[in-house]
Amino acid sequence: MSNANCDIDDLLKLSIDKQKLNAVLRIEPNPSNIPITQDALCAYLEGSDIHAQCILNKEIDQLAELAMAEPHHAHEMIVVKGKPPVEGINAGFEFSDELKARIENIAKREEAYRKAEQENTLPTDADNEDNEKTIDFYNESPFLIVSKGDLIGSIVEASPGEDGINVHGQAIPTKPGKDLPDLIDSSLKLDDQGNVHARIAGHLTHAGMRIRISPTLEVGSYVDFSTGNIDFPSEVIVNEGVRDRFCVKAGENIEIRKLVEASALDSSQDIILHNGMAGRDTGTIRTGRDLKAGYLEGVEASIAGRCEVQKEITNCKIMIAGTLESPNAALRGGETCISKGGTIGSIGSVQGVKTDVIVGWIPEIEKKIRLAQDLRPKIEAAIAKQTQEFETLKKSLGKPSREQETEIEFMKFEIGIIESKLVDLDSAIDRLGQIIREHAAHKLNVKSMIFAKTIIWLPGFKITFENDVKGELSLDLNKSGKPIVTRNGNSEPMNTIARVIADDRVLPIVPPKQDEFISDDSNDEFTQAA
Amino acid sequence: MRILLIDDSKTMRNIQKSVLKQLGYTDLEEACDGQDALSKIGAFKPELCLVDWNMPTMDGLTFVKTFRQTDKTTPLIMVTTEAEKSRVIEAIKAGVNNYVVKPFTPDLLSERIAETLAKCGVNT
Repeated sequence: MSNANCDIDDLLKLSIDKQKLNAVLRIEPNPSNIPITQDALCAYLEGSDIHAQCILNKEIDQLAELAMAEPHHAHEMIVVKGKPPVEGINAGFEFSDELKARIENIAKREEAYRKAEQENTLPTDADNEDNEKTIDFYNESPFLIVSKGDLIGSIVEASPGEDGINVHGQAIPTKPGKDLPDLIDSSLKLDDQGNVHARIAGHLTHAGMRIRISPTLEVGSYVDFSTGNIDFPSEVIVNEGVRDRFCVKAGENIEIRKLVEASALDSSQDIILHNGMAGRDTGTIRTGRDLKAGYLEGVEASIAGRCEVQKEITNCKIMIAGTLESPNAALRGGETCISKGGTIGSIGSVQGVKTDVIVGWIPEIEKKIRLAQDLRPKIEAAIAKQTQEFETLKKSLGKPSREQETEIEFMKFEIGIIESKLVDLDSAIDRLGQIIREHAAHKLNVKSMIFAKTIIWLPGFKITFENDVKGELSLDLNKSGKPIVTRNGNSEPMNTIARVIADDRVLPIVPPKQDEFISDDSNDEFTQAA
Repeated sequence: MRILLIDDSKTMRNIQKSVLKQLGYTDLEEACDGQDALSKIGAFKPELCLVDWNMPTMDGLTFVKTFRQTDKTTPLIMVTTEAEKSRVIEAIKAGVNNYVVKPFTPDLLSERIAETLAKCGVNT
């Protein structure tokens, strides 16, 4: 037995791979017919420091049978297998179905845009889409914009993995999956179920394994077909300009560093145009607060706060609810309405372009005052009519019965009701007038010149400049509401420099009412609206 | 002339007081509802009452009805609103002498007082 064992060792050769996960057993030709059994092979493997659990018994059987059946040939087979480690999976992020669809659409848009750009088939006007009419380059945004509270997706946690074992029974350590500490930041919040929601509204970015919401949308170059129209809940910064026909709408500030063409800007807060807007009579601006611009040309603008223009305002139609603060700017052509007065460099032009400036005007309030003033004679007529009927009836009855007396008294009460409406109306007009007195200002400072063909409206007056007026001056109303001009500290009637006529384009200032109105409620329509 | 102002709104009473003082009436007493007014009538002996309509505890109409059971002559001016239009006939029948509809101007209140006093034959 001892000799036989020595012999069998000479016949067997074990090869183990580098990873020590597989071992091949070779049996050399066995012309002496030394018995090769499964037990003998197992004993050999164990003697070679092979872990018993890794031995493939079925393969050992086959190999032993083969060696006995064909002893003159060599045989080999993998008879030992270790277990490779199962590596852990890194933490990941699964977007919500809605966002997945949007991300897919953005990818399609980008692909279509690249193709259209290469083939020079981008739309030429707002009604066109791409050639296949599948992408609306104006209204489909390439930005993933989310609202506060939106479901963004869910976090897939890292798995630890599983250790392996080599043919010698030694553990092969696994690589556990990595957590992603920077996956989300404070712009997102993770709930108990592992779902991620937007903590703020803004632009969602997902570079690598970092998901962020930026409250600012920064457009790298132009707002054009590459970006489509922008409608963003907070701040928008455009590093270059805005092309014709595109819109930029923002819930906060809009800042644009280069030229804005004939487009539409709409901000709930400030708009800052480092360069300016060449609106070509179709560009529009609406701000919820201030506007700062280098220049404005052919623009229709509604500005809730201050308007600061550095160089020129040319052929624009502008409504400024605050003040005009543009001491170096030339205001040429168009119509500029300013609720709270302000300062401008010059008005009009050498060429005599008609330039209209309306100062101290709050159109919404004025509209209500005019409406109330129109109603007044109607109410007065109704009172007169009712009173006349009342008097006629009273006379005709002579000595009225008790029943008739009651009816007469009731008629009187009804006249009282109409009279109270008149009181309400006068009170509303007074309060609206007070709003104008408090919120409108009619002083306009001109730093250098008013050119001929400039017309300025102040409350109750139209002031037409038939000649150029040079030098710094200030236009205003005096305490009696008459237009005056102040130059070098001296005030004089406006008609010394321009033709002044009474005009109610801007309503004359409503003087405060002396009578005290008596009511324990103040919920009339005009006051509420005001 | 002694005037009793019956109104649950202190602001309204103050406004009425201010107007009446402007008109030269200085002998004024206030009551915050009908019940309060009835309790002050005996001592104050008003020559004119301005009565609000909607008041807690005792409203204007109940006050007028109760007051008229014992006093048929003291003039009563009802201070009302358009909303109370449906109850005006009832008020007239109960013995109200005149009305002033809120809101009103000092001129209108003065006119109503003068008219009422003249109608009731009270010498001012």
